[in-house]
Amino acid sequence: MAATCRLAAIVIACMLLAAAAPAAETGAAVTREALATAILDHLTDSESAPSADDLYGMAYVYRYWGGQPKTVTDGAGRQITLDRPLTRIVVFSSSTTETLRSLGVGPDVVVGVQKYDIENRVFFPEYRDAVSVGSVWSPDYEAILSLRPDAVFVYATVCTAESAEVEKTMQRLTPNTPVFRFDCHLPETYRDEVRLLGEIFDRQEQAVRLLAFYDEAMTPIAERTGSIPEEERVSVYYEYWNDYKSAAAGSGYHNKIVMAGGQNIFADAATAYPEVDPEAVIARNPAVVVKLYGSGSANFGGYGDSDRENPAMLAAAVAGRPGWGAIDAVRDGRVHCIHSDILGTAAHFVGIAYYAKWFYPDLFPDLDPAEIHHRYITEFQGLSYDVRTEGVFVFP
Amino acid sequence: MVPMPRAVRICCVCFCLCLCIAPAVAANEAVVRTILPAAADDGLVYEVTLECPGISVGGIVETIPEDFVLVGTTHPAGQVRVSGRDVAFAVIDESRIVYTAKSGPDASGTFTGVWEDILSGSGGSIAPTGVAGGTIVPVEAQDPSDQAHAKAEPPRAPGFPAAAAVFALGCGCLASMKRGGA
Repeated sequence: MAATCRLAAIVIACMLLAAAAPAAETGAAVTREALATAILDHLTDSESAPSADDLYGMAYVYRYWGGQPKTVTDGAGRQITLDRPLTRIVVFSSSTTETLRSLGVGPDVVVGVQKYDIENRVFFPEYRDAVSVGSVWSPDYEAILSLRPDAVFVYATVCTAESAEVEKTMQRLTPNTPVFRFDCHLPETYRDEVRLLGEIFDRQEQAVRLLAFYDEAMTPIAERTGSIPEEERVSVYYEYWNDYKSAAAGSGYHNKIVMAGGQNIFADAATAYPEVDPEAVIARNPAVVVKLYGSGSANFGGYGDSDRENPAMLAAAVAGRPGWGAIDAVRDGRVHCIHSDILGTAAHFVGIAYYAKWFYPDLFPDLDPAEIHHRYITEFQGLSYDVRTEGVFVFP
Repeated sequence: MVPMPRAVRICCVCFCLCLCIAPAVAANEAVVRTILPAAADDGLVYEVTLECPGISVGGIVETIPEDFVLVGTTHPAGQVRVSGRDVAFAVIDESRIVYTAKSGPDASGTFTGVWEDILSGSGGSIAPTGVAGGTIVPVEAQDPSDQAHAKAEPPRAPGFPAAAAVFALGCGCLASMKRGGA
């Protein structure tokens, strides 16, 4: 009841704010005459002077968009027309926040982030004092509205129900605030999403530079593994941090195995993320085992934890499961652990590089995933962090 | 040859330093005003040119001296607004603004101004220009509080070298006096 009243109060406050807002040029093209008048009103402290944000928006549209609104596309393929540049956004996805950082869009524009990004102080130090908007599962609408965002970013193809709920609620609370859908962690859509974000934020050059780097890492992998016949591809068992939870065709984790030239032994499972039978793993005898860590019962490692003991113990525990001594991967010492920070995020290409190296060491003697990771962190993420000496992202 | 006293030498060095820095300060200014006085039938006219190549979209407010009158400008009519002694110019891709002011033959005063770049968020004061009876005259250092029109933060870079030079000069003189037993 109290929550309902509070939400109703927020809605009423929003309506009052909208009614009281000066009649800015929102929605209209910006002519030279209109811009000149707005500047003169501002310079002479006229009562009809636009707010500083409105004036900046008008100047920006006139200077960079030819005075016209700009139609952009989000990661879900929806077209959205912007009257003004986005200067205050709320982002619910870490991978989108990470990708925006690669494009040079930081806390001066991203005014609200999900609580996990604020807690992730090593990787997102610039957001440690940012306003938390909760999470897509538990959004804090009061916090969102207090930020007066001009756009909200949620997921495109994951957490779809929750993202749709956020969008629906935002449209009810502030109908003029567009909601963008982006994932930024899936290799099959990452390139397009980077390009689209570059368009939205007028960071096309940065997007081109990021994609050139991305292609530099990914293209050799695709080229060298592309010609491997299906029957000769390395068989891989992938497992989440939950024991015996795997990934099948249609899941992002399956796609990453395939992109590195591997053959997922549970590609044919009935659901995208199946719980598999331990005996079935032994029966399918994978040549490589990949175990994910970074959450759930394997919540260690990553950027904020440099202790290598836990991933080593995890790999040993996986290899030591009853009956697993008969599996090729165990016999050959090819049980690997990988942190979700470099597989399920915008940095997934680092994880795919590790996959390629693990699956086909002879094909990739020159591939250095740690170096790719290091370049990404320093050149694109702008962090003073050395992944070669800090954090634990893979084992061995 | 009689060697120069140490204090004089240090002052000379500091003075030279100021001379070196002054043009750099001018070069760094976003808006530079030049005034060309000329005689007219009933007094004097001043052609004021504001060079503002660094502002893509922004504004300038010029304050003309008392007893001076704005008589014209080459700036587009819709981009100028006059309020008392203040003349506001909307700058949209122009790199130069020219306006003309008129005064009596003996009038004197100081042209002041502020500028603002809306896209970069920068802004500051334009160095004042003094005129007296048809000639340009030096202007005393501005009172820092006389920046009522400055809407944006003044740029840090242009102001720093001048302050540093004055500081250096002061320090040099103090050091010299101390060493000289003053």
